[in-house]
Amino acid sequence: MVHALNRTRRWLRPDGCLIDIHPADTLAGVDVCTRTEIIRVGVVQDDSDAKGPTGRHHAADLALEKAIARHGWILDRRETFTFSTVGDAADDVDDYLRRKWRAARLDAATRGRANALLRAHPGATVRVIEDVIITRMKTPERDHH
Amino acid sequence: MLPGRAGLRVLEIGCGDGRLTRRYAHLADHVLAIDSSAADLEEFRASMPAAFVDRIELRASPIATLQMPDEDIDLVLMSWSL
Repeated sequence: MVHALNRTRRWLRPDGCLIDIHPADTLAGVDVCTRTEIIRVGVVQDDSDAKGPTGRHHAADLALEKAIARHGWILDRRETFTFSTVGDAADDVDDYLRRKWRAARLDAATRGRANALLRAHPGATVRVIEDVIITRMKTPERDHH
Repeated sequence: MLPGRAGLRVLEIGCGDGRLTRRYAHLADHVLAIDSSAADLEEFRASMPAAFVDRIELRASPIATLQMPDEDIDLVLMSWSL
């Protein structure tokens, strides 16, 4: 992917930039949001690799560091923010995670707590909230324009 | 973080079902959103707001084989794809 990242350099205008977004090295939280409060009911279970649930996030960090160190990208700005995915039912969110995230799911206990709160609070929603790192980079030659 | 300029042209790599694209597309003049999963792109297309139909171009392609003109875009956005 680092090679692919560098393919994009020629496509950028002289004052263009590249932004990478990938999850931080933390587990995503699962909340139930009622009209009056936000209640944490668990975290997303992620069995995506043998290095542990956040190993792939660390791999993304390393890929960016490699691009910066070896291929001449300049780190321009980096921030952490939260990104949320919202559903009406715990099973819907679980289904979404299993289809869209690699080896991620809601465990039975988290689904149970979420469903109990959803029954008690009509109109409440289930929210997955993940910390995401956003990195903006540019190339040296473009830095002088 | 996004460059604030008129006529913003974006290439988004790994757009999936568009969960990120929908949040910034109103700031861009044109978005080429690519993903290697045709199924995800079809889901994106089916749920795309009408206001974005002429603004977001979807293409099933891995980055490794994508062909683009030189110096054509203002922003490359890699979304959850590293």
